[in-house]
Amino acid sequence: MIDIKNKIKEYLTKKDTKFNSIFEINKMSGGSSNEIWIIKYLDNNTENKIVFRRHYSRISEKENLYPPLSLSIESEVMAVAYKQKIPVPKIIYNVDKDHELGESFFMEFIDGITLGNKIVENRSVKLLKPNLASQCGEILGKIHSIPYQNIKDLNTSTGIDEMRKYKNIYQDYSLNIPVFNLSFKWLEKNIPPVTNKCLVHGDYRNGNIVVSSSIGIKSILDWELLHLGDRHEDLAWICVNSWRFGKIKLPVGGFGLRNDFYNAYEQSSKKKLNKESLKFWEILGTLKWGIMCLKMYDAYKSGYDRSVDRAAIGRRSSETEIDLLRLIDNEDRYE
Amino acid sequence: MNNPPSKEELITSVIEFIENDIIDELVGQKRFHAHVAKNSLQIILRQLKLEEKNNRFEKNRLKEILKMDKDLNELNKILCQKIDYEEIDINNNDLIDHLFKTTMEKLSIDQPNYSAYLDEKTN
Repeated sequence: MIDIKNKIKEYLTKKDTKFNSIFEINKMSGGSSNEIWIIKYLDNNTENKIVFRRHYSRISEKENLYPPLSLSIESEVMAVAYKQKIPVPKIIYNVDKDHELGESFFMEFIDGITLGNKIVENRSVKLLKPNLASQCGEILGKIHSIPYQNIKDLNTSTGIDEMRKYKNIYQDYSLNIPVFNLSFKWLEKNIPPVTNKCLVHGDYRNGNIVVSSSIGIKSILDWELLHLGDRHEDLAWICVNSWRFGKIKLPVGGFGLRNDFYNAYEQSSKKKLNKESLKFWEILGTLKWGIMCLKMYDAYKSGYDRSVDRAAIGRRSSETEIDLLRLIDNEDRYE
Repeated sequence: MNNPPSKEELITSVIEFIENDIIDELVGQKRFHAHVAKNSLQIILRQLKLEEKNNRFEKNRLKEILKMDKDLNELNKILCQKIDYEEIDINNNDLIDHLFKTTMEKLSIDQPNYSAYLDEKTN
C-alpha cells in the first residue's frame, strides 16, 4: 500500500511551496465510495485547510451501492456549479488518474456546521431570513438549471430505474418484510409522469450542507451520487423523515416547511412541481434508506466491516417502515 | 436452571459498565461505537421482554388475514408473495391495520424514541 500522507504532501509541495508548512493530514469518515482527507498547513502564520477526495483504496463492488462516479466528472460538475455561483467548494487541483494517488482532487475547506442534529438544534439558524428551507429551494433550483450538455459520461436514472435498482438489492437478501413489498407495489402503481431531465445532485439533504448560523447555507457537499434524472428526486429526499433528525413537524431537513422550500424552488428554477411526483419520490427515498440500512448491515454479515455500528444499523430499517406506512396511508401529515 | 444473575441482569451490568466506565474514556469514533454498543444491548433487553408477545400478536393477525396456520417466518413469506402477485389488495384495511400494528411492535423493541413512532402513538 502506498503511503498516502506522504504522497499528498509530495503532490502539494510540487504545486506550491506554501504547502511545505503542512503539519497535519487526517482521514475523515467519508461518503459511500470516497475518502476525505483534511490537510492543515500554515499560510502567513495562520492555520489553513485544504480537502482531498479520492476513491476508497479497497472497495468491492458488492459493498458499494453505486459504481463510483468518476471523480473527474464530480469535480467537473462542481467547477461548473461554482461558475454558476452555486455555493460549492472551489476545486483547487485535479489529480490525473495515472498519478500514484489515483484519480482524485483537492478542494477548498468550508468552515461551518455540517452535522444534521446540530443544524436543527441551532437557535440562530431558526431566525435566518430568508429561512434555511427557502435558501435550500433557491439553491436547488440553480443546481437543476446547471447546463450539463457539455459534460460527458453522465448517467441517467429515472424513477423506474431507481426503484428497480433497490428492488434488486432487497430481493438479493431474500428477506420477507411485508411493508417493503407493499411499498414497491405502491410505487409500481404510481409511477410519476416523465419530466424533462435535469442534473440531479442525488444526496441533497440535511447532513450534506454546510451552514453558518449568521448567513445560512455556505456550501453544498457530497456530489458523488449526481446523475441526470427527475428534479423531484432531490426535492423529496431532503424531506425524508430520516433526515429530519427528530424534528418530524419540520419536513424540510428538520428545519423548514414544505411551502417555503417549494416556492423558493419554483421561483428559482422557473419550473412547476408535481405533487404526485413528490409523493412518489418521498416514498422511494424512504424505502431507499431502509434498504441502505440493510445493505450496511450486510457489510457486517459478510465480514467486510465487523464494526458494532454496521451490525446495529440493520435494526434502523424498521424506522422507515413506519414512515412508509404513514406516507402511503395518508396525505402529508406535516406541511 | 441457571444460578443468578438472570440474563437481564447480566446485560444490564454490561450496559452500566459501558455507561459509567467506558464512554467518558473514549473520543471520536470509538466513543460513538461505545454508544452504539450500549444501544444494541438495550435493544436486546427490550426484545427479551417483548418479543414473545409481539410475535404471538403478529402471528394471530397473519393467520386471520391469510386463513392458514404456519410458523411466523413462513406466514410473512406468504404475505410478501401475495402482495407481489397482487393476490391481496395493498389498500385492504385489515392488511394496513396489521402492518401498522406490527411495525409499531417492532419499533417498541428497535427504536422507541423514533419521532414517527412517538408521533403515531400520540395521534
